[in-house]
Amino acid sequence: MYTSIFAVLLFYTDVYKKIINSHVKFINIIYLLSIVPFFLLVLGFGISDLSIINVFQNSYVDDPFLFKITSVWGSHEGSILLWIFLINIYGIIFLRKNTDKQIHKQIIFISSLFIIYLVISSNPFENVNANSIEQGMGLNPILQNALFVIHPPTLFLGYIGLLIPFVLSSHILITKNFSEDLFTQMLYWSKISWFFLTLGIVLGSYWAYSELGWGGWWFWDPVENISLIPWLLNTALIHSLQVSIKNNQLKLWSLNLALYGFIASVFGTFLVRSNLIVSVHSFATDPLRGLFLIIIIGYLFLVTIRLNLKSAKYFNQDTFNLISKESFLLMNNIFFIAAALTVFIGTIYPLFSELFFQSSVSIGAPYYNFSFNLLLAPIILLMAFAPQINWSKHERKNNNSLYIILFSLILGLVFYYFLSNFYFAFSVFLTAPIFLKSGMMLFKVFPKNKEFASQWLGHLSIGLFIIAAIFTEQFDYEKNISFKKDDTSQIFLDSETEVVLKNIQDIDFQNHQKILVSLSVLQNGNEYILSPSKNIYQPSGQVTNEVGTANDLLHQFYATISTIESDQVNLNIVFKPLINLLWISAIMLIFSIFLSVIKRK
Amino acid sequence: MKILKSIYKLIFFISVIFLSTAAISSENQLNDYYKTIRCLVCDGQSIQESDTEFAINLKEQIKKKYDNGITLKEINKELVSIYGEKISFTPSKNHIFLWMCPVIILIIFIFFIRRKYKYR
Repeated sequence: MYTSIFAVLLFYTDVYKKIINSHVKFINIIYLLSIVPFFLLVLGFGISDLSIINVFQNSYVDDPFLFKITSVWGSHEGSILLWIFLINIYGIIFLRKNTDKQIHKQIIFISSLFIIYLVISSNPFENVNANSIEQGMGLNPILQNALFVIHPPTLFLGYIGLLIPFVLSSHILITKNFSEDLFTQMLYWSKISWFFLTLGIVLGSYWAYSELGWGGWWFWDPVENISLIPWLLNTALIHSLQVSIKNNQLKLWSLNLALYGFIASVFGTFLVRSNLIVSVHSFATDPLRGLFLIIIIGYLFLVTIRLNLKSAKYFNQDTFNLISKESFLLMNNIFFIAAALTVFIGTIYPLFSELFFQSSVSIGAPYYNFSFNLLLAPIILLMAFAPQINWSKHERKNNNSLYIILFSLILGLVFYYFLSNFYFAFSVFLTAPIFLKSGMMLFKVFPKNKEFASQWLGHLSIGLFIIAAIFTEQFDYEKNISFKKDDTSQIFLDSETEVVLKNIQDIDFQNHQKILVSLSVLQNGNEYILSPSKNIYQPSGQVTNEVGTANDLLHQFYATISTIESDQVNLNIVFKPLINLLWISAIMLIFSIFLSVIKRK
Repeated sequence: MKILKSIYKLIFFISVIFLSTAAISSENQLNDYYKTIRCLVCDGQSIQESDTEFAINLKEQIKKKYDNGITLKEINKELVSIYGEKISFTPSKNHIFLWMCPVIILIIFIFFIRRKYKYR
């Protein structure tokens, strides 16, 4: 049955050119046909059809139903199928907004590239001899989590959302139709992609922090990096499109950003699946898969170069003032693209180092922190002033920027004097203008004009995010403690805080066994209960950590079990100040783009 | 009143942190250092996050040396000489191109902009 579906799919990739030109309805039918296999795989997992290798390897008969379904994207094959499914879902929705056959032809072409890839190198419907198996091998336990239900699909929606700007951009370059309408559509879709991309990254980060017990929210792991590259490019794209639409400049620039944005997201997938880099996100990998994906990327890349060469003559030189909105937005673009490139180079540098210098090297937080501090610091200062500055065709008004910067500098110095921490003081200096400007906006501009609300909220939340992130990183403190079982003694975290072991419990669940440790943290008369646990999963016997947290407004106590020995438990307790502000600001950021998307309707 | 309370709490925490920065630094410094050491048997985790035998042993060794008064710089040098450069998440000064690349990229971009776009 499944093979026949694939025969049908292959068939349509060959003949689609003929039928596609006849009627728009056929496009819809093609999209609908391509989402069918995904539902079949969902069905296969739902009823635990263990004759499919993929189901056998990634699902367990006794798993809860929800996790059976999410096992669909727990494997490489399934996630590529999800990728194709989402491309076609985007296609169906995009068809309602724009019925240009040429654009949809491109979407279908790219979708079929991935379908061919799926059929050749990673068929999710392969059969296995049904007699030898009983229960299935089970979904990787770290993936058995409510956040895994939504994190990969959201991230994929973000990646694939960049496909629409990609096809629009190449359409514009092919037809040489530089109408404002197409650029506005591009902005709309890149905002949608940005929404999902940000949401996906934040969910992944929150998952690593609160569920996996990695102790932090960002690790500069290769897989995190490759999701950050499209995000940075997309951010740049949203900003440069403002110039293209409102001021008729930087058009080729924006078009190129859209093209490279999608290439970056495909490249990300390639890098993860090809076994070239080592990451905490492990996929079953195979060189053939990598080879095929690199062919797709190479093809997209060549198309981009060719389109560029052909259309360069249609653009004239843009001129503008140094202190104007378009100039600031261009600077934003430069720094964001540079940041994306540094992340890119940092991610693939170990490969080159191994190839050319025969020395393997690990690149982690120190390098990225260095380059991000260097590249993003100037942007943060600009971020406060850019929204209100005028385009260069208008008169320049007097403004108070200099006073604001001076005031922020003083504020930074005050913080340095009191906290004697350079990083935090510097980030106060950088972000203070945003907060000051926000205050002014709130009282002066909003009563009259709410046009900039989403933009203002976005910038404000970035400011809050930076403050929270730096504060947490600089002022967290961490302690490794051990308790004997049945121990009633207190351990002091610092002079104000003490920890007491309450009890240790064993609890049995449907497919795992949980060892739960309850701790009580006492600080100035307040009691916080922390209950970290270790889960032992069937059938693999794999062990996962679960974090115990307790909130105090914006601060958080965070405990993980490092090891359990026969007579004692070793724990790791961290006090993370302001960490909740970080998540709040991330939610604000996502909400701000949501506002700007619905505003356009 | 709630806001006042939270402001009070914030001030309290800031002062606690200010007072405790001096006291807690040595263990924190060590924990921060663990984060820059790669656990070679895991997939890209640092020894701070990992619970494998390799990570736990290495942490113990580092702590012993640190308590004996050997500086983190010296410990790092020793680790690199034993396990190779891969052990440290901080690439050494041999990889000067890597460290320079944010600056190089920025300069290239600014040069490109100056040629392509005219400022009035």
